[in-house]
Amino acid sequence: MEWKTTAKIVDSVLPGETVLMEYTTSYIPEFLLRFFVDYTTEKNIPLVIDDDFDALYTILTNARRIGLTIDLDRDNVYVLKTGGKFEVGNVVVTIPFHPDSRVYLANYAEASSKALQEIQSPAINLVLGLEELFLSVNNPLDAYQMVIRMQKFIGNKKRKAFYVVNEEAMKNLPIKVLEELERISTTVVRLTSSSAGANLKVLKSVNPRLVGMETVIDVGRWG
Amino acid sequence: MGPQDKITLVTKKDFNAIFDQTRDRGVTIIENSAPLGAEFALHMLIEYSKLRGIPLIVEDIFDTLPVYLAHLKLMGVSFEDSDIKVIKLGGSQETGHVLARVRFENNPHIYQRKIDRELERAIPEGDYIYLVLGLERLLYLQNDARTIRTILSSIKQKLGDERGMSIYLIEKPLIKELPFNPLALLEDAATSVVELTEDVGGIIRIRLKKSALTLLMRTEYMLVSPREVLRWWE
Repeated sequence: MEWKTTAKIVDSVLPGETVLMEYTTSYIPEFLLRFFVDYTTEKNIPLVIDDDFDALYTILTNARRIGLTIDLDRDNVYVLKTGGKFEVGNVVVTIPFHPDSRVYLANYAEASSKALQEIQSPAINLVLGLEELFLSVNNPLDAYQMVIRMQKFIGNKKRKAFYVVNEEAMKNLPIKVLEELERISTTVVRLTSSSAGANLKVLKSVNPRLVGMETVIDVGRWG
Repeated sequence: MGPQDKITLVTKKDFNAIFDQTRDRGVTIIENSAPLGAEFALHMLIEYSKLRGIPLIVEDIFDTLPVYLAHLKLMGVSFEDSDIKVIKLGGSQETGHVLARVRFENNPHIYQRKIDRELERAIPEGDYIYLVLGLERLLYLQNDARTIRTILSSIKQKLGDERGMSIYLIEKPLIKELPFNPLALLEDAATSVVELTEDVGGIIRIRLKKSALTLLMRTEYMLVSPREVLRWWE
């Protein structure tokens, strides 16, 4: 696997940033999870995964089926699970989903702050399954409360957050929030599928060093 | 042209090899936009199921299977009812070997649970292929988040099943017109996604949109002539 430049981009992301990573249907989520696991292992920093509605299970299962190895079984990986029924990785807290955002978000805030108190910072926070989270809200107000909660995390230097979303899926939700997520994010990255793996392009960034950067994530023959 | 642009005309033997390779691969979505593309996919699966002796179990939503089978019969293809085991959701027109009928109702959790139970009962000792037909008809009637979440959770349930593979055959022009089109959400959960579109002269173009075969075959596109591969109209 060849992703030195991607690692440099992640290095350059400032603590407190929220990075939106948009992709279209492909194995990009599988490649990204492998990348972040390898990256945080190498740097010896914590990886906190928000696993909404079994997104992590889906990615790990499909990765296994296509022969891509992803080893979550190590220290310093923490999974915060919302909804779903397949627990994978080191689940430190399970947050039941509630269609009323205020209830869900209060549960989330309480559970996650307790679980993450001890974690060394800045951690990498990988957020998976937002598509289904936004599919599950009842109305635009609930969706907005969710967005506003995300917005409040911006500047929180304990973490660098990466939200991985399928662009087409987000655009086709009954309640549209992709453009709002693009606005609140400090960096927006688009990933497209290529023969080698994925092409990555930075579309927006508060960090001038990153604006317009492009690179390739080369997974070779899965490496 | 790079290696990814290479286009291969595939034979029936190639198909059997491809199915052999992908049989243990969770959930596949076939998105069809080609005229008779769904009939082609269904016919291939029936042939493969007979060749390898792997039972084909069809979830027939609102009489979609009878449509395709009637077309195939008019093109001179013949089947035995025993070739296809069927679990029906809604509808009234029975073709194939109907194992169970599940009533459609407002709450998707309820009929999905019944289908899952019937499928468990229908699954043989060995390998099997599960084919879902007519999802776009279901979504036409129930185009809401609750139904999509039920379908997504059913796909995720099938991902880890080591006993067989599941295929969702979806007519893209139909699902595209729905007020709420969940195709990308379904693609995201699936292990593999394949697209069928029309090429010239009755040829179908197969695009491996999300597939480990892209690596294996070093191409994203394949062409197939149903007339030659399946001896249609002979």
